[in-house]
Amino acid sequence: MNQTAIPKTIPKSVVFMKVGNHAGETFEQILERKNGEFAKAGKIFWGYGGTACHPIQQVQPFARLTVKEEGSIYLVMQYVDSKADPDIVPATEYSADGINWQPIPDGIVVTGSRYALVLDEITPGQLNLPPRDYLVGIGPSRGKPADTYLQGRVDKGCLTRGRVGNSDVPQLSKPKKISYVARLQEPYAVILRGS
Amino acid sequence: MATFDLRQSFNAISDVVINRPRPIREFDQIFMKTADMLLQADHVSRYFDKKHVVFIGDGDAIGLCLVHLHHQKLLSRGPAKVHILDFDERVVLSIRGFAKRYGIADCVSAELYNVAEALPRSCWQKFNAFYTNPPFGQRNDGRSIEAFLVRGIEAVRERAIGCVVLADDRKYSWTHQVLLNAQRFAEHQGFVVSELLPEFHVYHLDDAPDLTSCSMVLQRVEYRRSPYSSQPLEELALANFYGKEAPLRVRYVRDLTHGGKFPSRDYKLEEL
Repeated sequence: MNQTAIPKTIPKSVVFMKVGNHAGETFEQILERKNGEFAKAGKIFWGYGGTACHPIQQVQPFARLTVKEEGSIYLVMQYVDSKADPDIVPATEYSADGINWQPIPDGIVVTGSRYALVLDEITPGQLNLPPRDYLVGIGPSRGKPADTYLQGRVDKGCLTRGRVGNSDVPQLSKPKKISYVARLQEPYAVILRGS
Repeated sequence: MATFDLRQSFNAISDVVINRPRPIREFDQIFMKTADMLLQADHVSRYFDKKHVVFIGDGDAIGLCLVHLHHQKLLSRGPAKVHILDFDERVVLSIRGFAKRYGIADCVSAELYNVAEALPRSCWQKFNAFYTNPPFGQRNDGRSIEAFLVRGIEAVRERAIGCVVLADDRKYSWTHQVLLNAQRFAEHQGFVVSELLPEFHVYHLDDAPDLTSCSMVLQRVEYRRSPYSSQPLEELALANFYGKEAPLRVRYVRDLTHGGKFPSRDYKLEEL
């Protein structure tokens, strides 16, 4: 498999996500397992849940527009020391539209998640995302500065480059170190369910 | 603002809330918080007093709140009848079941209907008032709101009132663009804004829990009685219903419990 071509700078529109240990696995173990899944299935289901980035309402339309305008869309990951420990319930089916459901492809295991991004191979990257240069790109929080949006419990967002107000205001939050990057592939994000 | 018997009123709202199906986030079914439902019901009861009101979608169950609170004498004013159109069969059946249980079936009815389709003939220019709390339209500057407004306007008669709940929050600039577009659209259809309560409600909205909405009351000033001419939404409107690249694909949500007659499939029982 060819490695994903990594952008040299953070693209204009990205899906941002904080990542870390999950469900009893270290992040390194997760990466190794996930890239193994890419080798077998040609795609990775990167599970997530929580309060932002609904697959149908937000990620898919945001991704389709970005692909139209920029050719591709990337997930940029910031590693954080997390100990997320959800129930390890494996998903058995996925749906891109909430209507039609298919079995999770052979070779893919996704646990403890309600949604998943659909990715190419995950590749290490050394990029900086300055949150004050990005805004929420879709959803009810559209137009909110990313540095405000990503405070507290919000750990992901569909972000697009832009600023609100005076650009000379000192930067409140440090650039986010992006350690891993993956290109999203169609259908970009799916809903999961168990049996 | 009315004086409430707070305990009785919240308990009555609680009857309605416990009866609602769980919201489905895929369709922006996002419920208003309970205290705001009470305030909203009181607010619109003044406009809907003794009127025959059609609800264009009502996941929040404001229609039931109005009738239930009025029937329990917790609101001094209330509609004569409400008819609720919703594309979610769980909503429709839960309303019918509630109305039967609480003895208000003669003034509450519900019907399965998707705004993408032409208005049912039986609803054309029939009602004195309409109410809608549509998806907020943040991705298409409110064009999806027009679909709900059109159906409400088609369903009402001369000198009708409309109440539209729209996002309205000075922290979110898109809300004011959407509000402006909705007001322009209503004006074009012969309505004026007769009252607007700004930043009046909040929601169980996961990624923007502080987002507020307004209650905008419209008054019809121009009307021409006309033969039935409601049309389905055009393909382009369907393709961008929830915003660019976000089409409306679902006609109905079906209730697998048939209004609670069959057990939920959300759980199973395990033996000791």
